[in-house]
Amino acid sequence: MNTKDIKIIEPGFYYYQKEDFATIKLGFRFNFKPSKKNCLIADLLCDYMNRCNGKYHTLKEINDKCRDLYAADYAVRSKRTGQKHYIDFNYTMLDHKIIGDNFFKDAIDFFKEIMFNPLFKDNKLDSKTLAKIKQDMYDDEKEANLEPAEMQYRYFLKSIIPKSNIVKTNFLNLTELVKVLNEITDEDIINFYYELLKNYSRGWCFGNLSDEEINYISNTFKFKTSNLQKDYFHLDEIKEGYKEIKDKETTQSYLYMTYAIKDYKPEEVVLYDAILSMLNSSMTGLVLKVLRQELELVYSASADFFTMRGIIYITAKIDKKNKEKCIEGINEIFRRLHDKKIITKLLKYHKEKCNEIYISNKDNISYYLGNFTSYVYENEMEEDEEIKIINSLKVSDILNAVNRMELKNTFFYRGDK
Amino acid sequence: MQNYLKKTLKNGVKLYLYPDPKMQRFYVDYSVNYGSSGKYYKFYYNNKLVEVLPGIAHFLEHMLGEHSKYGNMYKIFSDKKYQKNGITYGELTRFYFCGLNDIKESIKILINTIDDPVFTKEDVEKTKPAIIEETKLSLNNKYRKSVALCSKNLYKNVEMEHESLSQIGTAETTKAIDYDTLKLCYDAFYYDENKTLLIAGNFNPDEMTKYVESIYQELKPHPNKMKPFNYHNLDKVKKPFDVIYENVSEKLVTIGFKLINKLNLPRREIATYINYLFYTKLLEETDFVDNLKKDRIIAYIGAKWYTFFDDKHFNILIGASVKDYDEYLSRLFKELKINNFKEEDFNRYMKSKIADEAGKIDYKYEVFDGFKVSLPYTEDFSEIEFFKTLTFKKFLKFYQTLTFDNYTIALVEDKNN
Repeated sequence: MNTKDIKIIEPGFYYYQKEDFATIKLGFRFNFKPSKKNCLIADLLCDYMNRCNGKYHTLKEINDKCRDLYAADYAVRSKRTGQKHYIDFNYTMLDHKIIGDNFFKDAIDFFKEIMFNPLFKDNKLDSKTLAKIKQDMYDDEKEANLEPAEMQYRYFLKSIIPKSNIVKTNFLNLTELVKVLNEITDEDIINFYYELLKNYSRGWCFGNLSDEEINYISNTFKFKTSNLQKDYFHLDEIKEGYKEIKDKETTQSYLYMTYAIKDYKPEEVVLYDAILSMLNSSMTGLVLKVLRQELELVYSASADFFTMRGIIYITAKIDKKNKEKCIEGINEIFRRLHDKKIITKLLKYHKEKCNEIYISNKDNISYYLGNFTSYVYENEMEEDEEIKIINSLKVSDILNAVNRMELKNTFFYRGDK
Repeated sequence: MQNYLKKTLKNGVKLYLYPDPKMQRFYVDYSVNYGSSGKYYKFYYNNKLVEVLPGIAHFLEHMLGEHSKYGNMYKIFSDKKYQKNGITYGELTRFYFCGLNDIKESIKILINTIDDPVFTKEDVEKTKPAIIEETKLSLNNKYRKSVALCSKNLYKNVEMEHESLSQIGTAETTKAIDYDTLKLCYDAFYYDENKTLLIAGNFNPDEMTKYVESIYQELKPHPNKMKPFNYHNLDKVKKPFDVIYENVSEKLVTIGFKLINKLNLPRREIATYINYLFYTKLLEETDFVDNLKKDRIIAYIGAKWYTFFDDKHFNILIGASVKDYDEYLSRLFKELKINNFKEEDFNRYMKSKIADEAGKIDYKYEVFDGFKVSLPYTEDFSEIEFFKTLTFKKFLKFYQTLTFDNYTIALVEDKNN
């Protein structure tokens, strides 16, 4: 991706013209203030806007219209990155020039209905739809609460950052979920929506559009942008120590070892991504090499990196009897991360791989879109710049970075079935 | 969509070529029509009946890829910075790589790895611990178990699923697998005519064909000495109802309908019609599902899909999380038999299918792009013209052949109730 190809149509609204693809894509992001209640309101609002609006009252009507517009596809989703909470409105439509049927304006106007015309009648939501959404949410959570593979991850997150809203719904207890759901009124949701529209972050469109078409889009979606800071970033205090949870419903156990990066800054993401790659690459990465190939303890294990929180963890699905061996294995992985010879080899591999990906991904829509949206929303550097930094990394940089990683928390979800 | 060339090589291997000068990478996929489905548990080899345990196809996938005459093939491809993997499906085992450099050499390595196996008894024993860990993942999944239970009872004389309800077996069955059985199954199913090689990238098709032929010339021919087991009474179900007990909030019900391809339609035509049937009757937005949820009969309709046993027999499976079991079944049977299809809905559905296909151009260079992956198995790839040939009238004719009165029900009950 080259930032020179990106045009700023309005402050906070970007356009990346690419002629190679069949679809046109649009996205708009709005921030909201995080709280347990707000997160739940955001989830309810998204679901509500996905299911109905002032013009198309039912999901069937919306989906029929989508199909009439050659499989137009929209999504309203509540998300979080670091400590930032936001709602994304995303839309994909087929480039009408490919089909030879000019439905462009109709398709844009349809997305406008989704965004600007929620079904709020007499300051009320449609009670049946809302009740259904709440019931579905409750049913999903009830099911998730019985699913060890889902719950173990939530308990892990809760064990390392107990006060954070990092867990999507943040409700490990169904009674609490019902209580907060019942507290939320129609007015809360409506007020939240109008407040949300005031907190526009950024918007973008991607594809092969004429000047007239791009003007039509920017005139349809006019927002005042707030000043975008790198406020996605947030260093959390990780709870130190060891925690174990037993589950009699599964034979599968899960081990997590979590490391905090001292004085981490988001611009160091490339450096720690390199370490993650050294841990994770499928055949050369240290995690599977030690835990699977050498110790034969696991089938599945990996490392993950919360780039906006400065946290790296290693997780392994294991048999409960192998816990100590697995902990020792992960410690061994970190001993090897201090070995200059090993680092030299792994860093060389990482650089070569990144360079190959850099060349080979250039005909891939996900590559362009991913880089473009990261650039728009998070001011992330463009790939050309990133590859230069990757190529300049030295073994000493990696060793210094590893030395700043400190084991803080060990979490064991013990399958006792 | 890009044209492809289909050839049959001198030894009988099917070759699909996608020459595309725009592609940066090569994508090479080698597959065999043999997988983890229970229909492969019995077969004739050299006219002798053979019966094997579950998990052989999957075990073989590991042995071939990880213990080749070059060493671990995935490690070699990993060193070349390729994306690579081996995957075992119900009726297919695939080995693939995707990369930039050394492609000709890698094609040779891939073919030799699969066609000239060297794994030993020691290799078999060494691979077992990792596979045992993998089997646990399958055994802890209650949704997978529900489907497997349904599939197990679909055919009276076929062991479609092992009693553990895991197609890759259990710790016990894995321990019992030996070298001789693996070798026998390899000899039986990896015969030349049963394999497909697919190459996509920037190359000259004639030169590539010559090159591939030259690789096979150095290998021993692998003739077919296998005959599939002739299963009788495929129209009868083994058990019309079965139940298992797990930790679930609501009953999980999977119904498998056994159906017959009376019009001798191609599989992809049947697949499109079934998807349209699901679209009309079982989507979230339909009145049928909406009412089931509103009346608290179900929590949700889960997976709905189809499988083919052979060209004559196919199944439709419908999963749901159910609150009122009897009412759900009564309404479902009634709904499936009502002809409430509308031509305008059918045309709308086809319009969206055509748009989906046109939109796939955006992903044609991605490794997991559907048309490349599914081609060796179904020959069902992006073809807008194909969808244009399907009409509402043809669909109705197909629908009229469906009798939803031959089925099996798998119930997962809450063990605490």
